[in-house]
Amino acid sequence: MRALRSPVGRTAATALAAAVAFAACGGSGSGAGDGGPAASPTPIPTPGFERSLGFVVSSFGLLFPEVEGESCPAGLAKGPVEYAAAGLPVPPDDCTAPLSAPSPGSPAMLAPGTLDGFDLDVGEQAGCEHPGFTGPDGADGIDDQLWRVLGCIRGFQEGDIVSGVVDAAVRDGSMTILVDVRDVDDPHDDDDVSVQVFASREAPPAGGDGSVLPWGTLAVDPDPRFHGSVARGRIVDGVLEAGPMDVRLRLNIQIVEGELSFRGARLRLAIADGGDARGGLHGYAPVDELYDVFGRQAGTIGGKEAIGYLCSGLRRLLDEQADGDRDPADGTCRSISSSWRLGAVPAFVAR
Amino acid sequence: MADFRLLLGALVATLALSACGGTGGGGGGARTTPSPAPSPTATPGPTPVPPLAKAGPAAMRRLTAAQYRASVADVLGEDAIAPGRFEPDQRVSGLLAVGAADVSVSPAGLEQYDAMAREVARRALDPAHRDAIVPCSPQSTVDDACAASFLRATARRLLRRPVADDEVSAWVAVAREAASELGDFHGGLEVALSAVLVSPEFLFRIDDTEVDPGRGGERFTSLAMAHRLSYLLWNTTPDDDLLDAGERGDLVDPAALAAQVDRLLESERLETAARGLFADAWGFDAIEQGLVRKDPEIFPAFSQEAIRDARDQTLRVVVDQLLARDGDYRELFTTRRSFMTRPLGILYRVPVRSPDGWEEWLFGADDRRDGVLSHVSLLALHSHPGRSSPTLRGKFVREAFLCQDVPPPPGNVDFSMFADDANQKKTTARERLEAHVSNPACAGCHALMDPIGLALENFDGIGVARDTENGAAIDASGSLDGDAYADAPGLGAALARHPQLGPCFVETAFRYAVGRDPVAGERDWLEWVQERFAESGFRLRPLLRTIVTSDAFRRASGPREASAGTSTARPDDASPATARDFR
Repeated sequence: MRALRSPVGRTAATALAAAVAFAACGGSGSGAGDGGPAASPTPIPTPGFERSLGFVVSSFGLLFPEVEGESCPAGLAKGPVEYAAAGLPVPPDDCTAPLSAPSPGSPAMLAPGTLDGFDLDVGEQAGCEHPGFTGPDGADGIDDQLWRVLGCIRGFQEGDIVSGVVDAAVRDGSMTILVDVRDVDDPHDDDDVSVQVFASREAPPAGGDGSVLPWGTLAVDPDPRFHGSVARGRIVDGVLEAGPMDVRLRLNIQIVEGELSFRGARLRLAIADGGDARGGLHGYAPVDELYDVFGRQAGTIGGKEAIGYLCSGLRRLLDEQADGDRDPADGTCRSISSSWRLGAVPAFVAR
Repeated sequence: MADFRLLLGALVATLALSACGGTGGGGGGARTTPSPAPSPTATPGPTPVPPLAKAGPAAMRRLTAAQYRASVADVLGEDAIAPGRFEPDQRVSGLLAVGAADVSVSPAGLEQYDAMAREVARRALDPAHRDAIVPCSPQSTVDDACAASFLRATARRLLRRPVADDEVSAWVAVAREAASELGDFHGGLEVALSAVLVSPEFLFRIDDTEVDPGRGGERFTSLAMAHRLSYLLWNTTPDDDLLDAGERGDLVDPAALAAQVDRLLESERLETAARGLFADAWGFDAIEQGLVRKDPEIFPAFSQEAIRDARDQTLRVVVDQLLARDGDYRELFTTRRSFMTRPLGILYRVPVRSPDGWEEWLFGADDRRDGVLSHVSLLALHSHPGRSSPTLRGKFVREAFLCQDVPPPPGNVDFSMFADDANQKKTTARERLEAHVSNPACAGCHALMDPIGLALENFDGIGVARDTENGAAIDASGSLDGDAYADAPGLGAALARHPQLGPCFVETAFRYAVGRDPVAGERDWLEWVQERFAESGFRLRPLLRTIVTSDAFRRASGPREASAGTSTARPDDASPATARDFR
């Protein structure tokens, strides 16, 4: 059994031993030896951090599936820049009312592929079914319809502008994400832990090399709306899996300000010996929220040009590919499955 | 505007004269003073106070940067403190306080003081702050009476003595001429205040002496005692109460002196002095000056903010232990009580809830953070930019805590193997330093240093805890002069037990207090103080009280001889110069 490092830097076992020893000695120090000054008293564990594993997310972005064959046989979506380059007039496109005019549409990424995600909609999303991806173990129905929407848009491609902006946002305080794992007896194998994801208004501590420093303390967002629901989880051979849970993140990237939320989300994190973690967050994001951030706000400040889309096409494709939260009144699916990769470093999550 | 270049030239000349030299009356020879009565407030001891065979010489000390800023803040307000650097302080015998008597002011340094003075004066007299320090409203652009009232009161505090009418008249004349040219009363005051701030009597602490009419020999004047006490116990210029006592002559009277000492020792401002003493003794000026640098590729968590917090953390522990708790000096090397900020929490890997301020922290036994030896401040300060250094750490412990001199290495040492911390065959510092033991040219000195430093190898070059180096377990065991230990807490405990720890601190505090090394005639007395320190439970206040009420602090043998390192020296054939000669 691997020892758990408690927030006061001691092992849980020795902390208990120290407490017992303290009681047995009547609370007095043992002294530093003949002629020396008295020893310091036994410490008190810091309240609020007992049996916890905390993380601050240090990298974040869309999780890209390994696609079989041609991803976008019809080519990438056209934005104002592409239309202009082709000598074509830019179709009317009002990002504040994307359905107000006819749209030339936006190509979907419909190719099959492999994705290390989850089958999020097991038995719950009847009426919104779409073809899923395949898991690394061959499992069917791995959900990530958001990539069907974004996979043929230039700026969302791996290494393009959106990846860089979102990745930087979690490091510079624009979208700080905390993961707090509690009730941990053994950080390597524990069959019952509780997990909560929080937003924070504080920027992660940055090192001299620009990296996010481990072992910083970050306070959770004071607004309880940004406290995710408590999920149960387990750690098997250093890999944490937890969910379903609801998560709400606050983002304020340049002049785009909004929220990203995920319903029925699942978290998978592989925790390395040094405390760093890598994995993914997978959940249903409300279509309206996604469009508000990536369409209405980003689209009106140059995002269409920088990323390469029209708001009318983006909105229609989001509605078309949505696969969660079916509204029984009109049969519309209000959210879309998504998969996000994340890297994290150990941190103290101050609630 | 007046030709202030002439004034500046006169000041340069005056400052050149003022370097070192010292003060003191005509006597100067060895003199055995009668055994004084024990100080009324000194800790009673079983043995009588031994006589001073010979008091030490007087010294004239340049204000340190910290003292300059504190003095300005006290007299002109916190907002008057201006950023900027002075000529570097000089460390002699391990202390800047001793080096302060060995430094002068170069012409370039005077330009820095002059620029600083102008900025301080501008800030102090700007419209937002002038009403707090100028006691009158000018009736016109030129108002000699108002200018005189401000300059008389301000100069008295800055120069630490009463000012004569002709001095005030001279400053008022400067203010008048400048105000007339500038069309601004406060602009005129700025110019006159700048002149006071570059006065050698502000920049240097001049210890005037006089013949002791009762006992013969030389003693420091009551006014000199005022600033000797104030800069030692508050690290700043005397307040009005102390200055009044100095002017009345009270401070050459043992009873009146004791009353003032009690007042100063009970003040919260003693904390500033304690910080000053330990910051000096432990070399924290390097942190203040931003000289502690680390390779960001190797230590990305290191920052100037973090190391400044680390310095403050250690000084907070000192103040907490020695003043707030009135505790045992030796417990500084064993206590787990500490204080944290967010940047420090990253290095110590502990949670800190407060985003901006300080929190108390109590380390656990397994943290191995017992005592100041395990603090980030000292560990990072005595390491290389890219790695720890058992040798530097051991040298520091020997010199700073045990007052033992460690000679520098021979000039032809090949350091390459020690610097190669990625050495595949010698993975730990202990293995790499084995060469010291096997090489006779190195073994003698390194046997003193390395075992101490190796006990701190569980902390890397910025003080972050580690169990291994290059994948190999770290062996932190060793012994300190025969007292064996297993790790850093053990070293701290062994140091706390070391018989030289207390005496060394007494000597350090004494040297800090008087700005020089002890002279032979003070040895017996110093040993007596060391015994009293132990009897008091190794407490700081009784020690300071003993020192400042002693003959060693109150009396002088004569002028201090100029050392070779000073930029100017008193002519060999000159009779002892006194501060009075500079006025």
